[in-house]
Amino acid sequence: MARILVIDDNYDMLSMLQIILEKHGKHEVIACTNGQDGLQAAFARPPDIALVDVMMPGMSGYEVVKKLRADGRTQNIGIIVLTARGQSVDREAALAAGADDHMTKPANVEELLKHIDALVQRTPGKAPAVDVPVLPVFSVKGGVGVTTIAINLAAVLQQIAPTVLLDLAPACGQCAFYLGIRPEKHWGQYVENPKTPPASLMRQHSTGLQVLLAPPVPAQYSWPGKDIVETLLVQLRSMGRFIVVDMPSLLDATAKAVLDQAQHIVLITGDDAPAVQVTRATLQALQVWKDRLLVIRNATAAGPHPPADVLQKALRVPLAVDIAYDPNQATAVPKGLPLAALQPQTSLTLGVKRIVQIALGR
Amino acid sequence: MQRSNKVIAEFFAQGYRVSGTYVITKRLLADEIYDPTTNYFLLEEAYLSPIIDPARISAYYALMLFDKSNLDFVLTIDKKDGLRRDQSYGMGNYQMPIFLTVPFFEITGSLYLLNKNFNPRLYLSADAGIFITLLDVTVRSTFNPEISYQGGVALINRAHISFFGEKSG
Repeated sequence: MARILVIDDNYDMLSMLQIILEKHGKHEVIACTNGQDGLQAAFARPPDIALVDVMMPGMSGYEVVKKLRADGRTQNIGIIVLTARGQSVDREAALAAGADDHMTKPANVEELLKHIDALVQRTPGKAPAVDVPVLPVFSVKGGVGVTTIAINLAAVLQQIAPTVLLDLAPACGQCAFYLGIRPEKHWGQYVENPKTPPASLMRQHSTGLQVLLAPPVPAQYSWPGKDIVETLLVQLRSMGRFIVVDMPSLLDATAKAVLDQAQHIVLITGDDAPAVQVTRATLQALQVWKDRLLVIRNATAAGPHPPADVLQKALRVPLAVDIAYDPNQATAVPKGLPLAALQPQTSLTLGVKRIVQIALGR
Repeated sequence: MQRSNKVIAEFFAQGYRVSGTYVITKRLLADEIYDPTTNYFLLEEAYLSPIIDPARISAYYALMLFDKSNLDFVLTIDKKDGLRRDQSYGMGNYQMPIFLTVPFFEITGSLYLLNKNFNPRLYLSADAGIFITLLDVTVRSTFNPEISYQGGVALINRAHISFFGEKSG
């Protein structure tokens, strides 16, 4: 299923396209009757595909296509120009403006859906949301090793395919410290100016990971809203085959927007009494996503720990992976490397690899 | 998709290309164009382009009135949209490939005739109506021959034809 923006000034055509795309194609449709509204909708929440009419009063379809291509948020979306002007000169003009495809009205339903499917599949950057798994690593309680698991998860996935790590801490995110990267560029700059292409804010780690860091100074930048983070995720999808999100310890609309897009939610818990209490409360709050939850115990300190079955009984959910305390983690941080990249056989690395196996269904 | 009561056609006149919508109320587009008792033709949602830059939309008009005698030709992509009611029942068995010119364009296509004995002079001067119907049409811009237009039907103003001949090869 792809999210498709349809811009056409003809109400009949618009409603017909909406029915065809929703009922036959099972796509999500955003319908707009003029170029200006269409651009606003596209920038607020970039679609996978835009279907643009050419002949519209006010702003022609060619202008709309040019503006979509000029903006960082929509430059990589698939664009089909659907117009009654069906001459070769019109096709050339559509492609020159930046469209990927040109179709003549009235279009055959099957042909239209075929063109849309082809465009969705054509490039990784234009693939639908489900093609790039988002894996948020989350806990409402701090100190349970969320960042440790997130960077190691990203490092293991990076060994499989290009991976993006997003540090969504409200400020002073720890990914920069753990990976030894200076946080000169971060998502705060994107929130400040959403036209900034996220690619220009990414930092590449020596492991190959593409990292979008959190602002280093507290309260200097606004916390991104739901729409901004959704748009950001759409753009990050064009940069990797996996997205790992080091989540903040809160469950507001922004965090929920990320969880909504997650293939699996990696919920980290400790095993002391406060951690168990917080995890149980969190599990209640995450009921709507219960099918996607992977509950992980991550022991962050040496010493005695309750057996897994006792913890499972207390949490009332099974543990997907149980990671024993790994003293090697302390040696990895000063090197600015994820432990998974340094030592492939430690308990932490093996635990994270198990998470990857489950997440990828292997 | 379903056919609606709207036909989108291209109108060429005096160096302009106009794409617009003809709303079929009582009569088909071709019946309206052919009608010798009316001089004007009303178009909705008309988009104007100069033929030297035919993809560029230079103006939009919600309503546009044409003087039919000033049209060079009208082009429809779909044959059904460009035929008169009587032509939709049959147009003759003999297909004659022809070539003609109107201001700024060279047009090739096929005439459908009732018999083999075709006399161009007679056809242009004696047949009824100010337009002729050509099928499977290719139109080339005289000054930009790389720009061409394809159509199922072209309705061509007889009075604007300068050269007319059988198409060779």
